Amino acid sequence: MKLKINRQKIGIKDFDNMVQGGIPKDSIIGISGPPGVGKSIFTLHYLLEAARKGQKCVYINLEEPMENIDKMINSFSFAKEFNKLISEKRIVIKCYNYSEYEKIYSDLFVKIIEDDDIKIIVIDSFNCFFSYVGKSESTKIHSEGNNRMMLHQAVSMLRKKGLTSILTLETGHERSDDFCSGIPYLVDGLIKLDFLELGTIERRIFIPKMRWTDQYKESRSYEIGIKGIEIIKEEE
Amino acid sequence: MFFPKVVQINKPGIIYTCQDRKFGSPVSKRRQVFFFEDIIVNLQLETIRQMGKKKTSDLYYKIGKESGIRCMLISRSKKAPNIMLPSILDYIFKGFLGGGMSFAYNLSYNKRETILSLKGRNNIICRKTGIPSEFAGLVSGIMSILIGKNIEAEARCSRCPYGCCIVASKDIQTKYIPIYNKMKISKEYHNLNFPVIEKNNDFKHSFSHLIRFKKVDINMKNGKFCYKEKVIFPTEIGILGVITDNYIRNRKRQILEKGIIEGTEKLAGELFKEKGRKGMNNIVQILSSLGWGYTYLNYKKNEIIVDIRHAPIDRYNYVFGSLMINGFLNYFFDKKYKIKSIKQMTNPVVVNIEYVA
Repeated sequence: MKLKINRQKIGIKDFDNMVQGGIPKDSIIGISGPPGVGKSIFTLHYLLEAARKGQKCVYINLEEPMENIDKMINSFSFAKEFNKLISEKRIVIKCYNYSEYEKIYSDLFVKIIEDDDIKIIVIDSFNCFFSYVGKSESTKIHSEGNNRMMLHQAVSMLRKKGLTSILTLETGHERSDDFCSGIPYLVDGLIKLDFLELGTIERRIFIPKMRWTDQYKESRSYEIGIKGIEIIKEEE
Repeated sequence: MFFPKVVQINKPGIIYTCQDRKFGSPVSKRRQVFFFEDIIVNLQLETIRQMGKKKTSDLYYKIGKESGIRCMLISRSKKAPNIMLPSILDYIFKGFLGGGMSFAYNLSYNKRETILSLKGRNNIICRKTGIPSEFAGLVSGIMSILIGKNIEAEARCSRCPYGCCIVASKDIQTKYIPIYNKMKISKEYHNLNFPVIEKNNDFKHSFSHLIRFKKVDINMKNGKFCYKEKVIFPTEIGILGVITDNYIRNRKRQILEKGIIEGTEKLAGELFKEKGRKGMNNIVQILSSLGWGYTYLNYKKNEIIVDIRHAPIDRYNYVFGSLMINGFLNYFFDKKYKIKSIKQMTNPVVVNIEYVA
């Protein structure tokens, strides 16, 4: 018997087609890539699509100040609608630096879990925070095993019925960060964005893992324009 | 159980293969680069123009034989028991198919007579030059190691490029016996060519990037890698040293230089429209993807200084690579550059080349 999977649209039409209509609901998805490939923009589409359907979304950014997030949102044609949803509190944006986040993140997660209205959470970026705490003097946690345990705990906190999460994961162009290397095993899906620079910059999207989904196996080319991310139709 | 597992590792600027047996025997590693077929073809055609077909054929037989021996020595191969020879030969030549050497598509081996016959079609390089002796030499080198005595080979192709045929037999008259010690890997080979891979903060590309972004096609039918329809093939960097050595030993360095530089210029003209620094920046990424190290360019008035970090090093100090870059610079800047100096630094390995216009 085939299991019926409820899906959550990302809001990028051709991407949703690549994953049978959307990512599985209640799942945790990692989106990885080097700088400049559009990981954060990808999550904006996701927040917008969910908020349009009346779902409450939380976006936590751990590296950029609020002004930069505003600038990013306002550079796209969907800015007006996005800002309206922020003002209606359908989308909540929180920016923290690492030290602030280190102090409050356990409580923050408890609040998120307890708030039944929150259906969508995006953490941008997830792995950089852990590489920070792993090296921080205050925590005195250095071993790889402990780091993995911390990651496991953080991912477990996000596993709640009715909460679908996207975690952006910063990687180098080729290397996989120590912290990032454990995450693909813990998440339910992994979307990789990458670029190739040969004269012009070409970006491609890959979906190496998506549980409960017969995802598109080839990579697809995409562009970042005024409408955000657009997957390019490829000739057969 | 008996045959080594081969794993290819590719990182920006660095490609190498590791061979490992499941039980006991030691690991062997070889640093590889991908090279454009058309550059070697141009070199061979230039050699034919200057030396004639017979002498070129003889030269390339020697190059092939030394390359075959080098391949075997680097993977620590020894004389093989007769009973296992057919399987070993099959394993080795199936591996060559992946590099575009499709002369070895069908293999038959007569144990009693020690006759190896390889047939195929559309083999790289010789399909464009009509000189298959390099591959006959390669087979001869491999067979000589596996049999434990000198075995020669010859090409008996029927119609190029569709009827490739190479036969190795104990009955073929002795043509060339190389000095094996010269083909062994140097003491520095491992220190120089397998660096600790550093964090790739300046976003150089790797070969897998070219594959993932569909810039390199793998033609499953004939086993050839193509970059924009130009065939590229993997080669252990020592093989480029063998080629260089043979040209220099025969006092034909100017043919080597002319062949590679002009071949690269022609190739660049066919592949790239954009000229100047922008065009050259593409080459930097392509060289990184093809395993030639991380290339950094420093432009001065009539001079370009090229630093190649983690360059693949053979005993000829990056001659092949420096000539290839020379050809690219000539094309992208419409000038005739000359190599002023090549310096090699170790730890980390950096090759510094000064080109002057």
